[in-house]
Amino acid sequence: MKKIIDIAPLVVFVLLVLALFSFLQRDNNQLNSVLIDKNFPEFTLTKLEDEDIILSKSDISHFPAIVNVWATWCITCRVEHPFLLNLKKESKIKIYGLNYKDDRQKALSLLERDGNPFEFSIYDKEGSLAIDLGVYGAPETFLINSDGIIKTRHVGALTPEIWNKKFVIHLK
Amino acid sequence: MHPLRKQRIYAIVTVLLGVIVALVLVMSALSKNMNLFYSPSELASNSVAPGSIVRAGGMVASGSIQKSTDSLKVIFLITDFQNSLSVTYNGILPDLFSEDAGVVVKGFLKEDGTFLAEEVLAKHDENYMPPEVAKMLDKTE
Amino acid sequence: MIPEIGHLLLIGALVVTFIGGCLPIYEFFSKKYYSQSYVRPFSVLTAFLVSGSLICLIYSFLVDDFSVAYVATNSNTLLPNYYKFAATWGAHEGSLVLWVLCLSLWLVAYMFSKRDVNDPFSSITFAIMNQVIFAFVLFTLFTSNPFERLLPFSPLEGGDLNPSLQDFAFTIHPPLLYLGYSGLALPFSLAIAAMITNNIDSLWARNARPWSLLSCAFLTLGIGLGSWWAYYELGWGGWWFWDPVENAAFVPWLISIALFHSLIVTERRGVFKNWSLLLSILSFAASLLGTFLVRSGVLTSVHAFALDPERGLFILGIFTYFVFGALLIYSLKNTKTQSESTYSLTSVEFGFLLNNLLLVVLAISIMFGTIFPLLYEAYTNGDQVSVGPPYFNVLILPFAIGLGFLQGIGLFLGWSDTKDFKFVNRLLIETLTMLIVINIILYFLFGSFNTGSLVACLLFSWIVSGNFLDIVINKRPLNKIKSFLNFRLGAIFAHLGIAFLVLGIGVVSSYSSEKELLLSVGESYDLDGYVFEFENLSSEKGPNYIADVASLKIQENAQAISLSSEKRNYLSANQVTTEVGIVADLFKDYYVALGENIEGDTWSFRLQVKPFVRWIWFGALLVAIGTFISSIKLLRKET
Repeated sequence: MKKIIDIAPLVVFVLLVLALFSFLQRDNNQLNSVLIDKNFPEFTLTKLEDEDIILSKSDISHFPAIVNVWATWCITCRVEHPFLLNLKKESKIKIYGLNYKDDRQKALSLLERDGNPFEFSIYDKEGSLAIDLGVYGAPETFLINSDGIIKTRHVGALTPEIWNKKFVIHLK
Repeated sequence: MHPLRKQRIYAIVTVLLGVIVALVLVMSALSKNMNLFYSPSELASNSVAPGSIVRAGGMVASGSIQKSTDSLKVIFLITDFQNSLSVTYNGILPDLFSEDAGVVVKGFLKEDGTFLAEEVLAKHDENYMPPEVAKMLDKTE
Repeated sequence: MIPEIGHLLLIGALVVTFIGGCLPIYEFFSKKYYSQSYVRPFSVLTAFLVSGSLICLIYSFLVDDFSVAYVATNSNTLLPNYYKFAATWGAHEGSLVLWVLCLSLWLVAYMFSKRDVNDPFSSITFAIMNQVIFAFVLFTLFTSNPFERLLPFSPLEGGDLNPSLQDFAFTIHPPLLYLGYSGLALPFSLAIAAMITNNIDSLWARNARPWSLLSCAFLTLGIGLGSWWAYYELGWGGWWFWDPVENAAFVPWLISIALFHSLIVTERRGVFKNWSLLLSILSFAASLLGTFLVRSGVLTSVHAFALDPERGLFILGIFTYFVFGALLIYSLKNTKTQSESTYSLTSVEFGFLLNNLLLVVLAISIMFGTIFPLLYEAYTNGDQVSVGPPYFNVLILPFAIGLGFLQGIGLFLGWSDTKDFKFVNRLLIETLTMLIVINIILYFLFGSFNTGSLVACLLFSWIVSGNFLDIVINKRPLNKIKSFLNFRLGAIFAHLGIAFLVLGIGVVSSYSSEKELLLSVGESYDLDGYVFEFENLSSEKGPNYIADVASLKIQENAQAISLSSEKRNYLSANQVTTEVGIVADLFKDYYVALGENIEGDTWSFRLQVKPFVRWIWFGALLVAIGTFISSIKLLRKET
């Protein structure tokens, strides 16, 4: 009897840990489930640099590539900007921009002022493409591998460490 | 009976009693105060009884916010990109509430299919989506 | 350079705590004792290494070193220096360094609080604390390194200028909370040491109690400050939302209270050993669980940290290791040294038993309600629910009544048995008298009765009578009163604090006035006898915002009170915030939040009168003072 009372807390604890572990797994799966291992979604939006040009999924054509969600109101985006510029210089990977809920003129001015790492940017004023991608906010970056499949995404500013830990492995 | 034995029994009975009372309390409090969360599509499909307090969420549709000029009444549409729900709210909206942003409302469905909100929750950064809404939107893909 | 040093110092701490965590355990089990006088120097060394690391991080913030990723994402050249300093612990990575520092400071405090630490009990305590520090430093270095560099792509400007974080109260709230959370590691370590060295006795209880009291004191301050900040910052007039992050602090707070009460019994009578051991483990477990919930991303909350399941997994691992390990030792411990003295149903021991029970059950119920949405989602395959404030409010009431009842009679009960029940009559008379007086005052102030506040007043009168009034009235001569009060000073302050807290909550919940409405310039509104007049609207320019400022005048009888509320537009961040206007006196707060411009000079407002709301934080302060007093007294008497 005494022994049962002594062991009971341990048993309850193990059950709790298993439950917590399962929450983590679900959360993990949920964050990724939407688009990992799928193609980039279809869309019809204008090009930031030229509002007369309509872009669609087929314009995201050079792989491997990353699609970077950014905006002028996103202060954290400025933090990863130098890294993106360098990435364009140093590597063969194509960087496509997704200008999220932004003002076209302001966005163009920023690119002119700070440099443009993007092949082009998709002007997603309403955020409809972002919704399809399951974007949480800006900055956010999606990696598309050489077969055109979305392999991973990162919420938050890209840093060399995150690039090496999370993105590089899919580029082999 | 040995006094020690008696004491042990009192202690165990007290603890057991306490736990049972607590369980009853928790279960009843939970069943009355648990709010299910629905998307506009689920609410449109007649699976939710009008009048019961629930939560609904979605994106505030562009250009759908109509504010009254002589009262605090505001009407807006929330959407999961498959269906829209008209929400009426009487009160001051949170600072983070805006079009094209995710929102969660708490209230009930009226007979006419519109939603009367008692609370509007837009706790997150206006450009981030409340995770409940994000998960729900993922499901409707 | 400096960030590298900071990084190295952390690695140094990792090494030192690894040795510190293993050596005493090895020594104890192999019975080979090397010079045990290393515990003090090691503790000091760890504290130095970790503070050095934090200083390097602070320095990086102050010099705007945006080559450090953490600084770049959490600071900005426009931030005033004080907020750059505080931004160090404003986000996950940096806050962990602060957590580790708090742990090391507790360790040093313990090691120097006793005259002699050359015994197995102290060295095992030292070892477990080192293991905890090691685990958190490992977590920091592996998943949340604040010294990660962006070189050579350092941005020229930082990424964060969140206005709601630029607030003094908000910056000292984390250090206080972390001191509370981490402090619970000490009674935890002491409990494990007691079990391993088979010293589960009064001496252990005596040792552990001041540290549980101190942790509770810091948690009280942290929670109270958080509540006060939420009140004036969020604009709704609310001060507690049962948000998961709030619950994550409230649950360990409740358990720590059960802990130090249980330790009193173990110290004085040698019973409740299992309770005290389990509560020691449970309080730290609650602290770790709270940390897990807030940082792993499983719970959605107003201010949960970065969503990252990898970190969640690591914290879960830490949680599992320590709590499983502790419970395993608990199940294997030697139970032969259990002495049993008997106590009756009317003894103070039984009162403490009920106290333990009520607190623990309440804590578990709150935790259950907090994670229920996760459970529901997991087992219904994706349906989502929310458990809102009504659940918690309904739940806490019976517990508050039960605990309040015990607080009133606690000081009168005797060990083993209570023989003298004369106090009951006196207590009832004193309570009734107080109750009547207070209700007369409330009626005079608010013009009505209310059952909700009646219950709160009853609890208040009961607790104040039992902890102060009766002592003063009944105990003679004067020097006897003085010595009794002095002996129980901490407890009296703390219980009175709870009384004020309860009264404040009861009154503000029952007698608050609130109205959301439209007002044009020049218009007035009568809110339950208080006349609010919207005098004028002006524009103001701040360092990084433009504000619309509404000035109001409130007429209270013959007096006119001015206050103003602002709507601030932060252009670069595209954010709008509300600055609430609050004017307070002893009995109430006037609370005005400006809404938006509807048309012309018509604006929406939320007007509130919140009676007795400050008494809540006043009560919390008294509780903190009381627990501090008790712990300092114990530490000073330490041999």
